[in-house]
Amino acid sequence: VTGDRLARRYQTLLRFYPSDYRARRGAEMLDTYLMAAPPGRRRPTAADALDVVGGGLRARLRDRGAQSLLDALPVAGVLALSAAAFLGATWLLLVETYHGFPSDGTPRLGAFNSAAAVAWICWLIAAGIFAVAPRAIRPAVGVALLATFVAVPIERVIASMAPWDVAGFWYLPPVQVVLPQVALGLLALSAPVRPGQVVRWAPLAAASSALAFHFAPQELLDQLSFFYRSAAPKVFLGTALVLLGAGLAVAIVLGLRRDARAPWVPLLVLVPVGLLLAVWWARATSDYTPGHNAWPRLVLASTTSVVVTIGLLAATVVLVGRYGPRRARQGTQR
Amino acid sequence: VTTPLREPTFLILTALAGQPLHGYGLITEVGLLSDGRLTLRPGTLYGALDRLGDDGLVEVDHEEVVDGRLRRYYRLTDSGVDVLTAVAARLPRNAPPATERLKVRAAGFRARPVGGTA
Repeated sequence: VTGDRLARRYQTLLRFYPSDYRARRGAEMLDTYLMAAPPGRRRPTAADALDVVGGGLRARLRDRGAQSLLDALPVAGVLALSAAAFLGATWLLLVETYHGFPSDGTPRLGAFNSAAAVAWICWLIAAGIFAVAPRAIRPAVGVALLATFVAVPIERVIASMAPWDVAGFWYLPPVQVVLPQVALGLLALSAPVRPGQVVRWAPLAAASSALAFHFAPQELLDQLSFFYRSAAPKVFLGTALVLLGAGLAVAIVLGLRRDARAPWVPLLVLVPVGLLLAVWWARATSDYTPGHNAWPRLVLASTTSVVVTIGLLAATVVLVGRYGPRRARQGTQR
Repeated sequence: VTTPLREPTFLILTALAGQPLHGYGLITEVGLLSDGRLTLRPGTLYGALDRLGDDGLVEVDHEEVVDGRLRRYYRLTDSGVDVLTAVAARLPRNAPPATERLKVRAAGFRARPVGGTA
């Protein structure tokens, strides 16, 4: 009875696969899952559920000739992790450790101006873990993502304890700084757990490149400013262009090797690139007169970029399915 | 247009080089071949088998019905044997230079004075 119940639950999960695939492989897969399950198990484990969902998605993409999209995720994940680590190091060097402005009484976090420094340090740790212990990269990115999610609310609470109103929270990280970081982090979750000997150092190298700010001429630093709000547009524009350039360069190298992942890498990095550019555009076209509300522009730009870039990805999957080279739908035939 | 042969794929081909195996047999064999380092789940396994089938490296050998359930056995095709032979021949060729350079690298690190390169 327990076995029947487990079989029914696996059968329900297998609905993630396309119906023709289930008709062809469902019974065989069910048998394999049941054989792999230890005696007495009543329900599929979370790992099994994820395996079925991932496998179903792969089967659907494969039916459309777009299996390479999933294969390209680890490559895009490394680029995203590199960009996230670079931004973390940049904010630490450019904003969090700058003490040129007068204290307004808001509690500070040791050498740093805000608790957001913890999130940026988590991204640097994730880059380090990718280099020395890449098998732990997903938990490390998860922790960094969580720290990034809570950075803004925690800072707002801390700032509310200041003896007077902190006008505009001018040195605190606004939501628009955190949003592209979260997009990069979500993509970074797909970074490979067994990267190559060179690739594993890429995020740490990207973070180290932010040290250039430490040695940059004062005139350039003055232009960038030491506040998130004013520095973010320029930093994001630069990061977006470099990330897109890196995605295209990787696509060219893969393309020369006739690697099917080539076109998908720039399309995947386009999602965080779009958000970085959206924030840049919204801030660059806003005036800073008192009472000006930049939020509608930010929300419009961010939403548009996400819809357009994910739509472009989905449209490419559909087009490849319709016009690209078809995979044999019968799978491994006798 | 292809993607490189990754470790799980290599181990699946290796497992099938001995004899035809069904899904669970392949999972067990890949676990043994990797000393327990790699645990394939069925969704991942059948995704890999689909791809290997598309590439003409693996095909169905025969089917059995055990306790009312379908069990399908897979085997290497001639192309699969060729690919596995080529990869297996390349691995030992690449291993000695890698080991040699790692030794040189380790010796270099030991010889370098602590505290910098100056």
